[in-house]
Amino acid sequence: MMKYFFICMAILLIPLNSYAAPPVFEILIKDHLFYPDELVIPANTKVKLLVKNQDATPEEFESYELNREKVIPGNTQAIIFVGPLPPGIYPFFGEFFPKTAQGKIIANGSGE
Amino acid sequence: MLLNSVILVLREVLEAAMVVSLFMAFTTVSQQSRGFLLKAILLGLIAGATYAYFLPEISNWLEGIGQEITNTIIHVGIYLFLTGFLWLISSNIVLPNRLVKAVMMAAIILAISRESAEIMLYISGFSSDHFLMQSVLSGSLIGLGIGVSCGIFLYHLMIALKPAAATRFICVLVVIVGGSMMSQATQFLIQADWLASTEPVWDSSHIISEHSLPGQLLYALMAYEATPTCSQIVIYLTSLALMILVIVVARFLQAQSKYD
Repeated sequence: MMKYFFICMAILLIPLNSYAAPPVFEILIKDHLFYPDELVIPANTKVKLLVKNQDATPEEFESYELNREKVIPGNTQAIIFVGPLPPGIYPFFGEFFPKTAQGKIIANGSGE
Repeated sequence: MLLNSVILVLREVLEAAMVVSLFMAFTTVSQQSRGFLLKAILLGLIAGATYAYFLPEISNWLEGIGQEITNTIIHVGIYLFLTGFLWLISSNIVLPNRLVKAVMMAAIILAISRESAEIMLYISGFSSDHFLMQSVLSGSLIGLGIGVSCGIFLYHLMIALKPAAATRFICVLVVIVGGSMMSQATQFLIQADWLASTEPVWDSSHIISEHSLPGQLLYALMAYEATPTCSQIVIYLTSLALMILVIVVARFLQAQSKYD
């Protein structure tokens, strides 16, 4: 009896929104620049970044503030999960071309 | 471009240099030949080149998180081999012993493969640009030089100690590097969305920024994170505790067998 009770409790504890696919945001890398270089995402929501590297050269998406790093070979795309983030500004950069490849993610409190 | 290359390559080399210098010091302290370490470094470079070559395909595995999972496996692998090393030397199984050698080689191959893959990918990106390639190559060589020098410095620091103290120091550093590997593995699992991402427990970026030199050095040594999440801290501390437990248990069993 207790066993079923715990199973039911465990199922109830799974938040429903974990089933929903996270919204996808696209970032392009072209000529060692990020497009857009300012990306607004909803705060407190997990999002999926789709980073398309259109250069022939590899790039590494890196952000200390977001705790993310991922190498994206030339002419390929990568997905990076980000958040849920409290409202704020989170800079990111391309580690292979840090002078030009700079951008920031703005987590917006209102959700848009 | 020159300075970028120096910093990028240095960051990658530091971590691998630490693992190599630890084991190199260990072979010196236990008065063994170091030829097999060189073999491991070469194998690591080959593994790195293979990883870099197949990265576009690997990235696509598991619906786009292949890279994170591969990196997690590499980091967990290094941790396990380091733990195995601690177990062996704490139970007084020292060189020459094939298992000790194998464990050291495996850890070095894994450590070098990931770091070198990134450097190779980076440099290969400039293959079409002859002009930039020159400054990238010289920058990379300087970065490599500084990284290797740090490793050599650490090596001499360790072998300057008396053998018993040196072994203890090596153990402490192995535990620190091991924890760092698990912390990075956790980070990759969060990035892959296999572990839930939670809000940072603290933010120490105003004390030591990850952008700063001390921050970078601390990152290379112990995966310093200015904004760690709860799961990262828990896994980090648990893996440190496990390694220490392994040392204690191995020593205890060793002492027991002496009395029997």
